[in-house]
Amino acid sequence: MIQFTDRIAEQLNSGGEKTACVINEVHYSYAEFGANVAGIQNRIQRTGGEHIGIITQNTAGTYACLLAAWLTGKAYVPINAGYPEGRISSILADSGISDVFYSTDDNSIALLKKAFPSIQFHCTSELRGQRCFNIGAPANRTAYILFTSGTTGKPKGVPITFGNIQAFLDGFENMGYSVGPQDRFLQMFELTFDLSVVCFTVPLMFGGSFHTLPDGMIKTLALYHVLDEQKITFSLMVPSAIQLLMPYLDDIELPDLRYSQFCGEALKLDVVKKWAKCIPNARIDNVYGPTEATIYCSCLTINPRKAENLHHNGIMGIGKPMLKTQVLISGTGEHEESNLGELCLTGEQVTPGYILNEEQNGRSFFEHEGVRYYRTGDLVFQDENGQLFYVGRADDQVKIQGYRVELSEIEVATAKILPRNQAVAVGFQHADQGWQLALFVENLQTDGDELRTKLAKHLPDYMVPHQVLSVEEMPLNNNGKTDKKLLRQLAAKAAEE
Amino acid sequence: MDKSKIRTDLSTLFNKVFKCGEIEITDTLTAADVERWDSLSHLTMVSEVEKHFGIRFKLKELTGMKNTGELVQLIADKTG
Repeated sequence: MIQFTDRIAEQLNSGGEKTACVINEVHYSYAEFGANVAGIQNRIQRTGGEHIGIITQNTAGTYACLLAAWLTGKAYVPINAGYPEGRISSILADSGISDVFYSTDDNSIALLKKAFPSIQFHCTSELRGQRCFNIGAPANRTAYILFTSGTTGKPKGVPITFGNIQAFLDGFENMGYSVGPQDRFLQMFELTFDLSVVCFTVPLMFGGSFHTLPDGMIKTLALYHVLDEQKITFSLMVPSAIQLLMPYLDDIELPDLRYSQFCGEALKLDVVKKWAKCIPNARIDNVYGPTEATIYCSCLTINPRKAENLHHNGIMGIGKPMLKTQVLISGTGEHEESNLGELCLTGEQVTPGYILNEEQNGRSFFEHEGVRYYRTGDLVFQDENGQLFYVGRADDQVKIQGYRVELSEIEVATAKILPRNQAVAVGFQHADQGWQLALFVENLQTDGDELRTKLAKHLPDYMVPHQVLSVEEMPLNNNGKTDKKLLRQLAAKAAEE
Repeated sequence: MDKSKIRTDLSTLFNKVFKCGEIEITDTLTAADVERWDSLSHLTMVSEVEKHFGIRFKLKELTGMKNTGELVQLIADKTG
């Protein structure tokens, strides 16, 4: 039974002058935000198609549009106008989108209109209505589609249904949080990143508010500014967001923060211990999950005084599965550590499967004893108490600021620019700046920065390698394969210089 | 410290961190004007500035800083 859209519609219609969101430091009441949602709903009803594209702008209108889509029973597909045109074209085609909504006219919108003349663009800033209504979408209908990095160079579309979201929210409510109208949620994520969904959905279900980072500020500093000035009570962040604040932790005290969740990347024990001192009244949770299993699906609550017992090699555990998730650890016994295996997920949070990609569906989903599982590619082990511990990846995927990056997607993009030069991308850990990307190219004749600029025309910003390095020949290991371990070491060394 | 000397030193530091060439440090220069100026490089730049001038910024000073002119003023205040 889908309840979350009913609860959001009720809050939007009855919230009155209470703050629904603070965007760019401007407060929007439930009444004005709800009127915008209602107006957009009227427009969406007049469009065809099950899916609508939404340009991700840091405006109240963008969020109003996401909610209007849901309440009208449609799926939204977030589109970052700064993405390369080829990527946007692929997203629009794969999702079957004919209508795109945006809230503020700017240069990027003008370029999109020119590039995609067959798409109907709708500006939502002036749309107002009397009252929000909820169509009541069935559980198996798609609520959003996100595109993640694909190994073949083409992004994979992950559809998440209304039922998947409801299962996530049932799990969330079972985690023991006491959330109410007094809560102020941080929303620091780009809307193409699924962690954003929990940050605006949950507060609106409870009559609370969500708060985005102001434009024009350095992101890390804006994060601290909002946490502090807007007295955030619930935050979900990627660990790398506070990694950069580490030198200034002595200056940080956030007594209003009640819940501090981390997701998207490995959370280090030493970071938890230091962060805990800044948030004396908060519960710290490390949550885990791939986009395919809806936002996150396991949780570890960390008592900083006992954190020593809940890590593996300095990386915090990922806890136990949430209410509507079950796990299987596949292939144990194949690795040096006998209990290590690939984490496979099942339950109501798991996506029906990638859109238009049967080949990938065949690789990523399988049946075991009549139950359908999703292979995460994450290597884990489970201790005697049922706690899961992340150890590494079974493949070449890396996480950059929480975004999944398939290294071969960078290599495919490089081959389009330099078809004759062999190129290998690696992810490496910078001493104090977290994970970074490096691209090694054989006999690179052009300037590395020039290649980076060209790659930015094919790849989103976070996938453009931080460094481009030339090698005479790719080094090989004893098995005759590219020696990626050596390349990672070379990249880390070059980054230090 | 004299502001013109601070600007000259900053130009060298900015080039080192942002790889932007020797640029003119104007008061209105911001992250939007320099391609590689993002969260990561900003905090690297701050750390380099702290080391070079032998000073230490408070986090609130950093969040309140609107442009390079304010950075120059802060350095001048701290170095006396």
